[in-house]
Amino acid sequence: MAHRRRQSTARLADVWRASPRARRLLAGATGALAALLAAAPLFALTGDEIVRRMERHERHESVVSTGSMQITDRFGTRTKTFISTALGDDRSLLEFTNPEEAGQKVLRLDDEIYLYFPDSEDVIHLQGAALRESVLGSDFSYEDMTGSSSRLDDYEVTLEGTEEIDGHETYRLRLTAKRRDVVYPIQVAWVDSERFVTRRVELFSRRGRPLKRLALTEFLEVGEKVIAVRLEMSDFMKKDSLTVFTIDAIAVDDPVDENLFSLEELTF
Amino acid sequence: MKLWQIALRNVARNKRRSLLSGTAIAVATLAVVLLFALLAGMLGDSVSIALTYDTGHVRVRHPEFDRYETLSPVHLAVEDAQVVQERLAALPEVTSVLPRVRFGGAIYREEENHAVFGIGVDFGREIEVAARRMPHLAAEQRASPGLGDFARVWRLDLFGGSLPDPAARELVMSKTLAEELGVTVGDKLTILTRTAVMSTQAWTFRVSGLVGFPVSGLSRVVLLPIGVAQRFLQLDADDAVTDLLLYAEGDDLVAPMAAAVRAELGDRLAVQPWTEESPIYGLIEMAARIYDVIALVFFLLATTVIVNTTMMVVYERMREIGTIAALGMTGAQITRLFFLEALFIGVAAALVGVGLGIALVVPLSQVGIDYSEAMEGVELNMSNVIYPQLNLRSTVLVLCYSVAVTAAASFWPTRRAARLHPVTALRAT
Repeated sequence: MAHRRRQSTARLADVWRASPRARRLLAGATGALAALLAAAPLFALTGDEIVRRMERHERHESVVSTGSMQITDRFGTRTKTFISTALGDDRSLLEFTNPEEAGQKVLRLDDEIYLYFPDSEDVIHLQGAALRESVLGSDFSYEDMTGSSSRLDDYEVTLEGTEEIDGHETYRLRLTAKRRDVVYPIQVAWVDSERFVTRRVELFSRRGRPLKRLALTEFLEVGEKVIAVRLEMSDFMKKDSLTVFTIDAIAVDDPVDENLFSLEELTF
Repeated sequence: MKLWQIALRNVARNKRRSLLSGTAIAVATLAVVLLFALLAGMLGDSVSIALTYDTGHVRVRHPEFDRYETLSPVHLAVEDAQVVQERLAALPEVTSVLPRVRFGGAIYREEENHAVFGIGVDFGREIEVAARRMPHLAAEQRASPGLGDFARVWRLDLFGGSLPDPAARELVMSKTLAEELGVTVGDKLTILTRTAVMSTQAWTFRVSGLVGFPVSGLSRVVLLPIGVAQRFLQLDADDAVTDLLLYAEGDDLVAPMAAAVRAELGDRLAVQPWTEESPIYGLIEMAARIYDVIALVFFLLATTVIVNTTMMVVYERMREIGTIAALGMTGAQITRLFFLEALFIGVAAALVGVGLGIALVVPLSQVGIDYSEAMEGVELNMSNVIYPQLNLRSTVLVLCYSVAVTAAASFWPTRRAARLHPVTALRAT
């Protein structure tokens, strides 16, 4: 028996030595098997599970941050600074601090957006098509500030494979809106397969026309969460435009005064 | 008896026939006079709109402003406007300079977004310059002119209120827009805009007055004092305006003024003579050509009426021609006789037609023809009320043309009839 096994091994060794083609075939098969085994953990997750893990980094009880928005368009580059406070998924207050817009505020209550201007006696309630207007001429729209608590509520998620983005292995997810009233009917997101943070998102119309691209390029670890602190948004409908949204300081899940998110407080 | 006396007697002899042929000629002449007056009114209206609301004789702007005009690029403005104005006003070719600030904005009211088009103007100077340009529109000079004075020189309908206080946040707005927003004099509204430093700004304004613009294309306009507009748009730090409108002594002096302004400013700013740059002028040029074609077609129609009437008159008198030929009148005399008859009727009818035309156009040029209902919902750079204008040259032309066509139309059939043998002519039915 042992003799027969030795004979067989010897024959295999002879073939190996004699035929370079066999050597290449065997090496290819081994490599493919190794790659399949290595990739297996990536596909072990479903699209929904990836989104759940990703949202652990994106959803907070509260966030207070300061930062800037650098807007570049055909007329040049300008920078807006802000203080942002958010409570849960549906309440946020953005107050601009740069001299040109000092004191202007954007309040989000659920899906309602209210604009406060220090020189105006009225609070402007944005609704309907007005929500599609850009925030201070940037590539972000007021609509981008709204939306439901989880993407899984609004979208069907399909895992399309893996891709490398900026040197990082990512899952490529296709999110297709379940309802017609969702702002972006189709999203393609690339989620870091190691840290489960979004690296890039492309937003499309229902007919598949590209609308916007969001690239998340810098991250900060806050406790167990990894938070994007530099986002680059470009609106394909605008020529030569780019908005770089940078967070300089951030506090996550600290207590925040609920009264801040009211129309009375907005005009106070 | 002389030939012209016989012709006059013939005209008077058959009054009904002379009256019918004269009426046809008079009506055709009247129609052409009215058409010419209306077309002249429409052209004059377009010119007036361009000069008053849009360009002046020459407009000075930032060279890039036109390219991005739809984006309301107030940051592309004429800086140090006061200094530039003084330099331009010193030029002998320039009679007056008007600064303006144009901007786009939005009013959010009752949870709806309404687009507005703002113009910051110096109300006092607008009245002063318009009064100089169009003295017939100006009232007597007053120390502190009101909204009524401004409305008169800008040809606006006044629906109440007063000029905005330059020290307050007040504006005058189009009544059409006010009705859409559900506001009236004394109410407040907030306008959101993008400023010269590319920031977003919203101010609350009080409506100080309501006016009706003669052009439906201006139905979304709000007018505010230029200083207020400059502060609102953050143009005040650089004393900037978007437009400088320059006026020459007359409409025919635009080219030399534009040359002088270009020499003064160089390439720093765009110098736009309305005859070269204004899209309205291009439209006016095109409209003038279209109107010429319309006039020609109308002229031809009127000609066929006159020719038809005159020829019928001659042909129905063939037997009469045979009789007078049998009595010894020569062919040349018969031709001259009928020519003179047609000439008398033509002159009288054309005079009546022109006279009636003048009698109709003169009052219409004061009260105008109101197209408001027809123009509802149509945004054109044409007034809703057109004031027909009588043009001496075209009126004399119509008069001469009518007479000439009548006389010429009589010539050919008469000549033919005169050549016939008297017996043949007598047998004609």
